[in-house]
Amino acid sequence: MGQAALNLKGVNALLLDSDQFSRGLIASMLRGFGMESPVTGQTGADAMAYLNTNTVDLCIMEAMLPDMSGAELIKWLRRPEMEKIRFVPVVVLTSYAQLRQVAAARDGGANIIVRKPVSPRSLFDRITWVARVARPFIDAPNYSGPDRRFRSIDPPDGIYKRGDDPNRGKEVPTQPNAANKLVQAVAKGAAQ
Amino acid sequence: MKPVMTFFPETRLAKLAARPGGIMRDIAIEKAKEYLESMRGEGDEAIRQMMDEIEKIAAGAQGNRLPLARIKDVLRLADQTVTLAGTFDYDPFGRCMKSLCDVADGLLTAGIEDAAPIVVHVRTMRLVAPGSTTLSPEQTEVVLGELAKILTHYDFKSLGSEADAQTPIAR
Repeated sequence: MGQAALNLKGVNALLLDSDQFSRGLIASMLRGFGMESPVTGQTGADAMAYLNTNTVDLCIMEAMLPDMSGAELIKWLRRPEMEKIRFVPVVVLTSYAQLRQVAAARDGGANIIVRKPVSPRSLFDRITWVARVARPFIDAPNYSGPDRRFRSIDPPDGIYKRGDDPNRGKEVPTQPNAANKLVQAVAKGAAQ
Repeated sequence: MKPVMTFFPETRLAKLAARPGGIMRDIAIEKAKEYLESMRGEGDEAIRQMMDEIEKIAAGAQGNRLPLARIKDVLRLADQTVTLAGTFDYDPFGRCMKSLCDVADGLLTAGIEDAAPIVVHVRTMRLVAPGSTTLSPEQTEVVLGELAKILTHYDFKSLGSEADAQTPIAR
């Protein structure tokens, strides 16, 4: 990925994780990226209470919260009634035991799903991606969220391929692909 | 029926991120790594506390029986230690705790209240815990290989391989 600057100063993030120490880890990474301390919460109810009266620019949440799944919370967030925040980018983090939640989170309207433990590189690149690659937002009877058909362009680096892919389970090397080319082009333009 | 609509929203995140200034990628990543490294001591302490809790649950088994509710607690705690082990590069320990997650998840799914597979993992956990020098790398591989046999014995699937086969996911 190119050496573009990303300005996250003033970005209001909401960070939801059931484990206090894990919240601290992600929050410290975000501070490293130049973001102020995010608003943190532990449960879906915490998030709903906050979002009923506040707006956020980025939501980072676990796939499974103590009182509801991440997918349920995202569906609530994507409703037309949530006019001010329904388009907010949502990054879902899945721990090892939550990997079965991936499909549910995607179908709930997550922008991107990242496996824990999250490395600074992985988190920075995914935030860059959701910030710079515009995706249409689909509002359909059974789905509200970013267009899931972005396989028409290659996925960003680091995304597992299909189960029969020989590279599956290995570190996927950084290679130019359509999404990255787009990110790089946008980043280049922004840097100039 | 509700019609399908397509929007092309420009998010506030996109607008803010595109402003001049900001931080270069490599610098941001290095800074974040430094912050994480400064939390290693706290991370080790959090791991120790979680191991103690898991041990306490396993010690509460009566005969070879551990209630499913307690196995669920083991799964939750083991899952959190997997994340911490990965964050701070404790590889053998992380593999042991992933195996414990697989076994606990398998027991929960099958509704089996066996304590023995949990207890074996708890003993191994101490041997491969961060800072432990009990085992050589070769011995560690042997012990972790033995843990894999427990999964085979019960015919449980690894959570990781199962999920990978279903859905592509970023790492």
